[in-house]
Amino acid sequence: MATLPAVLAALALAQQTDTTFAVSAEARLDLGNYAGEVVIRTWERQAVRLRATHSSRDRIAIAPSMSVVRVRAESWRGSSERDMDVDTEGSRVAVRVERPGRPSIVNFDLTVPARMALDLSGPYTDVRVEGAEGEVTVKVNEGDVTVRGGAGNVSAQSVEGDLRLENTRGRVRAVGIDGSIWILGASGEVFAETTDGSITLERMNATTVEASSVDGDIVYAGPIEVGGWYSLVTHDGDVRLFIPEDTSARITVARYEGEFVSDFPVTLPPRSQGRRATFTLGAGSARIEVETFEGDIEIRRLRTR
Amino acid sequence: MTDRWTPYLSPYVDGEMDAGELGLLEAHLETCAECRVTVRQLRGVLEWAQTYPGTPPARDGWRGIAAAIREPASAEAEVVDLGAARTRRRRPTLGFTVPRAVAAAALLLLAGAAGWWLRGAGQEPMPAASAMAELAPAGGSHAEAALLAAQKYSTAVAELERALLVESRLDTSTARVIRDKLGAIDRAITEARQALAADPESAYLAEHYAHMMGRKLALLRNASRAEETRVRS
Repeated sequence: MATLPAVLAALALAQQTDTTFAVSAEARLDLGNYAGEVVIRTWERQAVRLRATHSSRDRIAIAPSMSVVRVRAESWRGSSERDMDVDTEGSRVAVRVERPGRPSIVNFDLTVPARMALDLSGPYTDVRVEGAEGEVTVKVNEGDVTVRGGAGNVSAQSVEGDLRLENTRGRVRAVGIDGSIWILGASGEVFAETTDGSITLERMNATTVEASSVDGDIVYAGPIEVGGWYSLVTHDGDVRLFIPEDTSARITVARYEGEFVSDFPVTLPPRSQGRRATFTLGAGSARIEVETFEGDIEIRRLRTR
Repeated sequence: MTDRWTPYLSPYVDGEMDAGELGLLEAHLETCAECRVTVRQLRGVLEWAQTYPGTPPARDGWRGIAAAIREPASAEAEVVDLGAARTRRRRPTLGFTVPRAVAAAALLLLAGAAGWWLRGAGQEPMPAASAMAELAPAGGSHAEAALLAAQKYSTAVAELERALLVESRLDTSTARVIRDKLGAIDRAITEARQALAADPESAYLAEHYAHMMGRKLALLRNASRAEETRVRS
């Protein structure tokens, strides 16, 4: 999604800031950007390289410290709230774009230590993270979020925009309101929730998966872990489950208006609309709940290539 | 985050788990603060429900609702609804009356809603919707508990909506999106309620109705985080 502020930024951006500074192994990046784009790449050096494209009237201020690298574009709040202070919580690096009276529109491109924890936010900001090996938290209001990598707690939230998380390890949380969610190659625990959008879960190795949409399809394609717990629930959308032939799970399905189709030898009782029905594949070690009020349910054999 | 153990918390509080499950859950409780909080809240509700006198309302609005949703329970007797059986297994053993169950469910919903609102955006809410579904009354249909709890719930949610959309500093485009999606959830709630009214014995429909109500709370919670994002950037 190309946000309007991002388009405007492309017209107005003129100046480049490019600086590199050392950070401690415990340092955390705390970056807030009003509008534009944030790209985070990783490397093995214990340093941060910050490149920013912004208006010539903006200025980037950096205050290095030990535990947090804080990046802010605060002047967008208006001239009465210039807030030129450096946040000195603990020891940190504060990076700010100072431009009194008007919002700052900045495209950030940072290269950070791979294990650095990331806390990224912005009202009108697209965020892309590549190769993270630490915790990642992204909160935007209008913008797309892509996170590749990440371990421990990995979360992404957008009011209006798509969320894409790939190859995460740990607890993954993706929350949208108006946008679709893709979670690919996740291991650990997965929670995905959107109101208007589809949820696609592929190549999963997660032991706990909870996906919920109000108006959108849900697709799960991947193995089912022994003892795992999976809940796929939508109101107005189809749910499609692609699982291996040798899956061991107790599966509960419920739909109100839609159809039920399965590659597995399963026959639901007559007049099961609006009711739950449960069947078992293999030894039934995992639990799977598949529910849609107005859509169809498909349970298919996962065909490996 | 609701985890795989959440559905077991109500039976645990009710003393309905077998020894094997009990051992596993108690091991989990030692490491999961969220589940411990939920257990405390459930115990609090049950203790409160035991002392609740069941005072009849000044105006009996239930008769109209009951008349609207009553259907022969045997209409789909041939369908094995294991979800309903599961829910029955989780029922509290205190012999809830309908008013007690509804009051308890409403209390859970309101406590959950107020809790996250007061705590701010960084905390997880209690799993109010699922808790409500667990507390279906022993003597009534799933629909009875769900519909009556919804009356209390809707008031709380309306207040939260007003606070967020009227008093917050959300920009107009974000507020418009949130308002639009709240409308989508409202339509889903309406459809689920109508389906439940037509089939009040369906555990799935009752829980789906509760789930959609919970989704509305979740959306409001997430919207409050959106406001926080705007403020902190």
